[in-house]
Amino acid sequence: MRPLLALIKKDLKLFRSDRRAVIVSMVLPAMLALMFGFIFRGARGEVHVKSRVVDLDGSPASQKLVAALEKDPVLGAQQAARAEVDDLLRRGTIDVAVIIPRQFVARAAAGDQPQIELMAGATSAAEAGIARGRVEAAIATAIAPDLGPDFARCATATQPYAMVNKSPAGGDAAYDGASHALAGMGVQFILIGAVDSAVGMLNERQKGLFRRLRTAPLARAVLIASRLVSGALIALFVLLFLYAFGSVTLGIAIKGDKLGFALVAVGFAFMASALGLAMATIGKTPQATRGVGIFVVLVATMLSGAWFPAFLFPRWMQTATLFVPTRWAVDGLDAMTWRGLPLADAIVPAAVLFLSALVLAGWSALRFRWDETA
Amino acid sequence: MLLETRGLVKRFGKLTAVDGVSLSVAAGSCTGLLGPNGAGKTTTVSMIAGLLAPDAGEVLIDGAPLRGDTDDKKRRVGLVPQDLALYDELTARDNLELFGALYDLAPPELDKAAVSALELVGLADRARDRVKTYSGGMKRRLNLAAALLHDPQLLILDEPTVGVDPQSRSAIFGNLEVLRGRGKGILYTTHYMEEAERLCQRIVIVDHGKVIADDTLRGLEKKVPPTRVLTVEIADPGTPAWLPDLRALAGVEAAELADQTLRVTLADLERAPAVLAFLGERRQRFSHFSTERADLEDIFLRLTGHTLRDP
Repeated sequence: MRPLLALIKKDLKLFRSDRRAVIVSMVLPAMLALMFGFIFRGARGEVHVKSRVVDLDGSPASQKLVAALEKDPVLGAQQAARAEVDDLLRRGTIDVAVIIPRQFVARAAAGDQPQIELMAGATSAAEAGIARGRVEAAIATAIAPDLGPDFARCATATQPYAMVNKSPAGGDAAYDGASHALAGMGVQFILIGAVDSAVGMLNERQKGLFRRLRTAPLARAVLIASRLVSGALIALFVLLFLYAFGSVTLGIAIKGDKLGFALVAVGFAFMASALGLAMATIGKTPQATRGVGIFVVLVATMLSGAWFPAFLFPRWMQTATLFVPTRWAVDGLDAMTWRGLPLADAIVPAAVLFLSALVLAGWSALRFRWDETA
Repeated sequence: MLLETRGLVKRFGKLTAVDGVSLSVAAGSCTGLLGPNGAGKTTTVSMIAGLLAPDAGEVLIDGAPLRGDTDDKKRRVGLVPQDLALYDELTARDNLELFGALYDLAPPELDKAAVSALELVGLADRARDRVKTYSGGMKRRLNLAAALLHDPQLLILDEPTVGVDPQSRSAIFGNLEVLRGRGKGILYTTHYMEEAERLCQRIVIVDHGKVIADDTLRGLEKKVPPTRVLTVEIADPGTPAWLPDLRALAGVEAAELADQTLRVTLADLERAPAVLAFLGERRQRFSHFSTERADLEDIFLRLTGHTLRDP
């Protein structure tokens, strides 16, 4: 019995002494569970569909409907002009737009069955279904008496209005799930490559290779820059291979601007490489860095929208993802592939990615510990 | 002087790892930096190679202070680190081309330097093999070759024979003697006494970050009293009935016989001939005799009060 207990005690001591094991076994699953909890609890009670409402009627009753849609916890629809919603939908800035037609209330009360247009982006079919229910509820609660006494008393079998789904003008881009998946998985596995790069860098430090490299008359910035560029080239090669593979096997095409695609791809390659440098800077040992790095990659990929539709995220998380560079990478790649958008739509994602790379690489150049003994 | 350090100090938090170390290395000579593990040798070497900035003191290369990562004087220094700082997945040739390129060497000069370095360390025939296929001793030799590509005047070796088989160690010593003969200055850190004794004309002993002796081997030997032990290997001692008479001989303080080895402690080494004459008179044939000389181990013990292997 004593040997058995001693052996068990030894294993528990070893587990406790290995911080990486503790983090990987306990802290990381707990953190991921927390994030999944936010997402799926959000799906049950706090779904948020990014929406706009266009009031072409302008009557007091239609303004009551607009106010109801603004207060709706799911839609929270801001009022917008008709001219701007097509563009917002095409770019994926919003999920749906509710267009209240001219003389909607008067025509509905007269039994003319006016049509409310429910416009949805190419990726927002699910959100459109949710929005339809919320609009019907808002009409029933906010302006039912204005649409006729029978409707108010639920005494009529037919609704005094119709609701039709429409696509944004000029929005001929059909959602391509394969293309979106390729962007998401490409981002995820290139980031896993960045973790490997970070681990490799720490292994080099452990082996004393940086001591040797630094005996040459070289600035540390040169050493960091060399890692940044080599990592970016590898990431870019992987990404281009994936798109070439996707093109041949799944027919994925760059329907948008080719230069824009290149800008986003290069920006993401540098961002991924710089993230690897930052992980190496934070990490003390290769083992610990691998555990924490994988966690960072999983969270960054999840927040990029590669795993779940963004509308499932709680509202705060949807806002928070704008600060996650991988979100811009996936959005930028989507924009230049299946969305078929012009160069202008690649500028902001690419700029965010390049800026992120600059900040991460600069910080790493300042803070990386070149020598374990120092 | 190729290298001179003046009062180097390096602190890590509350620990003073190097505390006022001054030493020098001349062209065509080898200076040994000797001390136990944790004495501050590697930290000193790191400051000399420009990897660490000293908290006080300075490093002079050819009389000019070494400053910053990009100081061109680093081209005159080659470091052989304690670790096997090589890319295992690359070939020996690829490794050397990388390390040479860091000093702006370009073909054909780089090719020539790589070939020359590989020939010196006896690895020319394995140049295209990946380093991971090398034995430990071969890696050590390649580790040395990598520091030679840019033809540095000063070579710093930080415990270059750790874990090396006797044959490779001997090969490395041979390489270093060749390099010293070519006029290179060598700073050799080690905690092996016999290595410092074999290679170095001048020896700096450090302990707890401080220099406790800096002298030639002969000068250091004078710091400890000469031993007065005569050792004689006797061919066939038989029953040593003569041993009491030997102990009674004038100038003999003690005499012990173990197997065929006779150890005689003398009041004065000048009494040694009388002991040998005594043995001759007793018809004791001896195959070998010697007197013990103080070695660096004794000197270190004398200076620090503890041995090199003590923590």
